[in-house]
Amino acid sequence: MDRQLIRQLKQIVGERYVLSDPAEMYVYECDGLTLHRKPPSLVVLPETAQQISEIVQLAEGRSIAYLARGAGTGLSGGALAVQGGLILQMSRMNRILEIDLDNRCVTVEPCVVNLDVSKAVLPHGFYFAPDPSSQMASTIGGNIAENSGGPHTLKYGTTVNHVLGLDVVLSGGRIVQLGGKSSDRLGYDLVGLFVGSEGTFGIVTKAILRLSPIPQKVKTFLAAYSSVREASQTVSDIIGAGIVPAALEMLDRLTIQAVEDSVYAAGYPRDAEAVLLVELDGLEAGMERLAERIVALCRQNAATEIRIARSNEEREKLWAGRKKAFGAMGRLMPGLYVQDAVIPRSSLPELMPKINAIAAGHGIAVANVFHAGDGNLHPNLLYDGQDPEQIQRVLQAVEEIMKLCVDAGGSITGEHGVGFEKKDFMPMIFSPEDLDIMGRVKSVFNPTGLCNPQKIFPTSKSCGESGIPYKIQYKTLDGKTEEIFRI
Amino acid sequence: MVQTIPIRVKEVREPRSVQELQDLVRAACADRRTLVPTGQGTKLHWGNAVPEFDLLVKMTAFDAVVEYHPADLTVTVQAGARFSEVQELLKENGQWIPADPPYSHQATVGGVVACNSDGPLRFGYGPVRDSVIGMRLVHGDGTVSKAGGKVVKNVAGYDLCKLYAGSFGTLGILTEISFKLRPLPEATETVLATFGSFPEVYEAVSRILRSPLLPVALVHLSPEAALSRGLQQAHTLLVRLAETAEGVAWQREALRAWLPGFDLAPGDDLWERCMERDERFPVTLRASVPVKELAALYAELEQIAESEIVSHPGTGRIYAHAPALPEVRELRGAAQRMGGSLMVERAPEGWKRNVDVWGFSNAAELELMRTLKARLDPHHILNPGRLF
Repeated sequence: MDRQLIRQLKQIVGERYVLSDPAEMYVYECDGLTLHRKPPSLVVLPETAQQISEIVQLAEGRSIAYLARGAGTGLSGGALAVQGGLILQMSRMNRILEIDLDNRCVTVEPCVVNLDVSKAVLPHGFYFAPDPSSQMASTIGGNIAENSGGPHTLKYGTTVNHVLGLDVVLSGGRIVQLGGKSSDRLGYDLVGLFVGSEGTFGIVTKAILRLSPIPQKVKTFLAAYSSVREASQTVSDIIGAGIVPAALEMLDRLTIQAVEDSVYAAGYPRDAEAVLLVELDGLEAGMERLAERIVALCRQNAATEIRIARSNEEREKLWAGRKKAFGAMGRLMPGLYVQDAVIPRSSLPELMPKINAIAAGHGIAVANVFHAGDGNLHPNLLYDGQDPEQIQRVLQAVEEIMKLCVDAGGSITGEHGVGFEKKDFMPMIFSPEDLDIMGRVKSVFNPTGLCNPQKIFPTSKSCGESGIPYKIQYKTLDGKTEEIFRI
Repeated sequence: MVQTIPIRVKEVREPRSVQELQDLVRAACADRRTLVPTGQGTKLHWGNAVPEFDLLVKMTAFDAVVEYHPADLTVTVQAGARFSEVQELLKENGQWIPADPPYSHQATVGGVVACNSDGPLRFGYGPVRDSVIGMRLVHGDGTVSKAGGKVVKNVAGYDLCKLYAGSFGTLGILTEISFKLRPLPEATETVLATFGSFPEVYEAVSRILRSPLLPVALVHLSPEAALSRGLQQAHTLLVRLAETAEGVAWQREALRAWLPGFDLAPGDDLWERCMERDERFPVTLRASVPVKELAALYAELEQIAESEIVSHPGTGRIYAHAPALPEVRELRGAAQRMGGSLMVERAPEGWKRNVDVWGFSNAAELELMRTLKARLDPHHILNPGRLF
């Protein structure tokens, strides 16, 4: 990386905020998906949208790839600098700019941690609903990029349902405001489109987030089972009874063991094959009756134990085991491959044993902890990263599981995003035409393709396996011919 | 009932399959003929005045239910199916798409989604957009594509459903839509309260919004609007409750204690009447502002607009009827200064020629929208001019 570029970047953000020492680059070589690694060439820490605009112009002027990174907790390699290039580490943009209770919203910079938004407004009776398991670390910018979900997605939707407005920096350094505090937007829903674009449209510099009122009452309980099938059937029965719990989560035996052996021990019954965590929230009136109904459904499916959290501490403990399950699995094996496929929820009882059989067939241990209520699976394949042969078996199992879920009418990712990891699975669910349309949409925001390249879209096979961007011509509204790059 | 087509077209076509539709679009693309996709035509009066289109593409033959999986809470229907008929089908299993768009008995699923058309329930359940999980459509160059999928949670690729919902048929013609569903609420009830002025209504709404109560919709009627719906001539707030039976009862009693002139609404048909657009007035405006600005905007409207005003104070939306053009510009300026917008939802064509119906104020957003349209409809044959 040339000295002139480093000098120019330092002029923009200040001497201290450009990192170029190769040793320092290893901190940024991967995100939460550690299977793929590539250090960037440079890391720059901007503080304002204006600085980001200048950095983008500088990078594009030199055809250098760039991407924004928050806490690096993503699980699909979305923040992986595939081509090296520049990482904009957003840590300095971490302020809550405004709390506007009358309009039930907050305005934040992108590197505010998810949980800190809720902490700031809890005293006023509100919270920010999206709650990815990484919420103690992951940032709003990353949540927006990935359209993050979490256990409470079942009732409250994903991040996109809670974002009202965005300030973004696009290709060419354009600073654009999308949406705003008014809930009606004119024309196309650009905010809805931008959320979940995995950092490939541009860089978020500010977000207006919708706040939700804290539920009057929360009831959390645990049900243990001697088979995954019975737990899965309970999930189907609860949904079938017309009840929408706030969350409906499942952990299997291996996960339970890992959690109970760790510092996050939540008191899950060790001898259970599966545990369901069910949470109801909302009005106190009527909740008891719904809870009894759910307990009856658990019993009907031969639950071996049902335990209701009697205090906030007990509730938090039950949840800590769930939210820290990924961390706890570190005890089982050094490498962890978190899968994220989605299936129609009614096929849970049928597919769960098949997934476990696929992993077993490849001699890979699998620990399941997932959002059962909406059919979003997380089979965690455990492996030793030092053993290339094991990695190959893991990748083979992942592909087979993916195919199983897609054939059942599902999707390849429910909340972690496609990123770098799953881009070659995209043709499993999207035709070349579908991908072509997505490519055209991307080209509107990111015509140079330099903003977070080689994500989402499958490795190009149409242009001699080269992966080199190719050009397409379009007519603009005023009749001019315009060339865009496709990747 | 929509008796006549409020736009001029040379020909009407009714494709019966995706293949026919694709052929039709490709042919139109080759000859540069313009298309207006429509269902039952309930919202053809929305949008800018355009002198003439070549083809009206009626999607009413696409009326099948493709897949319905009650256990998965998902349904896939063709775009020309009537919204109300789909809801009837879902009701048999105690499920629904949680939305109350206007013209609901006539409107088609495709039209509701293409216009992201909604009613007061948007406050409690979000826009129709949020219930859409997948779509199939034919773009302006004849490309057939799908967006999203058929499962309730899915982040594979860009969520183009968000782009197409509310794109008014300018990016593609919807052929099929998948929804995630909700169980029907166990109990519903509407309560009403009367007030001496709008600021008092707003105060009551603010109190409700900061309480544990979970109403699914809030509607305010000006005294004249209340009168014409058979109610007492006073500022009236309708609060829609939908919960467990106990939850509804508890909220009703809480509201009884808080709200002046509390009463139970006389049956669900009042709620229905509040949903439907008032077509006695030739011009209907839709102003939207951040909720906090509602009282200020209302004060401006009271000065200028006709007396029947209906607002959705939970989402910051006001419907009013305007007497003349300069007033529209003045009101739009006020709404925009408050961080909102004002669109002319309905107006005679002569009127429309002299006013920007939508009132886009964010030039950068508009430029992105125009570029998106150019990429998905490269020859500008889909509804050109209706939106921009």
